[in-house]
Amino acid sequence: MQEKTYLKVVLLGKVNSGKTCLVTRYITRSFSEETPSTIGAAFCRKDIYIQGRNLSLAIWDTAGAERYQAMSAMYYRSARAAILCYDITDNISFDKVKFWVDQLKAAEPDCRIYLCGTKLDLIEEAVQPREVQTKTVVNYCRDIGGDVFETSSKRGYNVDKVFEKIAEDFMKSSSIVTTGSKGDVRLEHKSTEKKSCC
Amino acid sequence: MADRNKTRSKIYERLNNPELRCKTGCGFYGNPAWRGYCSVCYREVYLKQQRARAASHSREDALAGGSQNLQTEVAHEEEEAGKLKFNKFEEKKKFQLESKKQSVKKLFKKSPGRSSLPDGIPAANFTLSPVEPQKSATSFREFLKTLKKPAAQDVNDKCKLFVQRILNNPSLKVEEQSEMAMSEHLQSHQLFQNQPQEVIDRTLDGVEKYIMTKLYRVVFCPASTDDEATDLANQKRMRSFNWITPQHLDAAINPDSDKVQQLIEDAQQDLVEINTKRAPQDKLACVVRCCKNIYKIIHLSTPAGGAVSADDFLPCLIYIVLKANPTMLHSNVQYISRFCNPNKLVMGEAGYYFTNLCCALSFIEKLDAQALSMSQEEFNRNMYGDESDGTRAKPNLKQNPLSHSNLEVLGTLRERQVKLKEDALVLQEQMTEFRNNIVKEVDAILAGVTSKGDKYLKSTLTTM
Repeated sequence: MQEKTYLKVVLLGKVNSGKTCLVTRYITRSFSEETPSTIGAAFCRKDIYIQGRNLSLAIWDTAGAERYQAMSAMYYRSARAAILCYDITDNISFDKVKFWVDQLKAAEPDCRIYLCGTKLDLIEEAVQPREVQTKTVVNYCRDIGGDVFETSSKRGYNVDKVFEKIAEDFMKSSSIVTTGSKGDVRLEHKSTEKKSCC
Repeated sequence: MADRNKTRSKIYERLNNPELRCKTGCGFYGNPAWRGYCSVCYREVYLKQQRARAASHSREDALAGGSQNLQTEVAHEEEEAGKLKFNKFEEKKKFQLESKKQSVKKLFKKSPGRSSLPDGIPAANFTLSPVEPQKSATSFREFLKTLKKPAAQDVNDKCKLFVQRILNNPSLKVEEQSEMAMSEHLQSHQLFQNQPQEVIDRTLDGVEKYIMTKLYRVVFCPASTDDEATDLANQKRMRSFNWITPQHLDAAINPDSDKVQQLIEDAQQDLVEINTKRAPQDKLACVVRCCKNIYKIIHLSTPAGGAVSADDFLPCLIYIVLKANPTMLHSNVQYISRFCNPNKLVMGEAGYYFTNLCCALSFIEKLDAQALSMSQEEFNRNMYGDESDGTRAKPNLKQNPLSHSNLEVLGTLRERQVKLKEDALVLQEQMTEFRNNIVKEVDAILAGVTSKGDKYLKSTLTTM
């Protein structure tokens, strides 16, 4: 049997920026607007086979509300990839993405960043006007060294591509960093004896 | 008087008895429980013995046979490699390592446990076929059984050695290495070489469980950290937040449904249960169970459905944690993050839920008016004010039938106490009255002596 490699992917984004729908779409290949789904989408695992290796994606959803922002560092600890979701029809959600990019860059420099504009279908169907221009995002991504995708979870457009890219990039980088950082550890056996009375 | 003098002199006699003094002659009194030493000297002697025993043990091991000897050496080398890999963890632990000073008391407590370690004497009619470990993984008990088989002796020895090493070095905290060292060791072990990863994982689980159960008392909530104080503070804090409703947290909980109520109670039960388990993975299993229940709660509470996202999940978990107010949650969280297999904590599903629990805890620790999106005054009123008695008491009662009955019991108790107090006052009055009467009577008698002469006095004296 072949060894499995685990890859932690963390999802960040404002409330209602389409994080959960993106994952649900990817995992179940369906978009549920009304029908209740049976899976708990807060944590998902997806096994994929890529370049002759078994890769297991562990996808961590996070709470996007402002009040839980302080805790998000706990979620993206040791994540190798982060999907930052923003709503194409909502400029504020993109501002939030910038905030998270800065946080990630500071805390987890090894974590690759993937920006994901969601709800593309709303624009194509002309339900809502576009607020976040593709050009600005692409330029921003070039600066921070990330990738950008525009997706529609409702139609399934581009959704798989996000995760495929993550897996590919990981395979590329994992050939370099396979064993993790090695360092020296010296254990000091110190017996500090303390005297005390009864 | 004479009697008292006698006993006192007896005591002095005993106290001056040189046999009662500490054997080392340090001047303090000894104790038979400490083999005639005083506590300080006994500790020294004890530690010395421990070291000697450990040394002889490793010598025995070295003599135990060529091949095994080699194996242990290899294992040690791999352990070193494991240490290297755990560089990061060590750094995290460093702070702890420095401050750590295990109390001797704990060491003593642990010592009888050591003798009860399974000796691993083989039931030799069993030969360990490659299929065997697969079966063994089905349960921990099975695992312990296989541990006793001759082929597993090496693993067993290693476990025991490890446990002893930890117990002998109270200031050394290297548990995390254990898992790593063990896994390296198991992988190199000839028996496990051809086994799938799954089996190794399960065996590793067993090893981890075994070691952590043995070490639980020493490493859980160690006295040198302030875990205990944090526990108490948290518990108090959570109690003061009893007015928080799901709406405050934007949690999608429908408290009117009986089914949801039941699930909430189940989830709380799961959280409370964490403290009763010993091995880190058992504790984690409780967390996972609790979270599964939370999924169900959210499903039942949101008729529109949709996948449960973290946006719903975390508030709900926070609410459950607040309601359950589990004992020593902080200690348990610390224990799991210190000693659980790190791979599991970073990658697995359990790790995700555990992270959520950590978040919930840190959210509660920092909870303020802003986090609940209410004004400071309203927050203060809820925290310290009296509003909670009037408007919020009712839903609280409805939510928790147990607290309702408790309140009733408390009410009757209070009534009884008031009555008792009244009775006591009455009794006191009666006593003072009685005393006054006596005084009066005596006064009257004394007055009678002077006025009416000796006759009356004589008669009263004879009756007295």
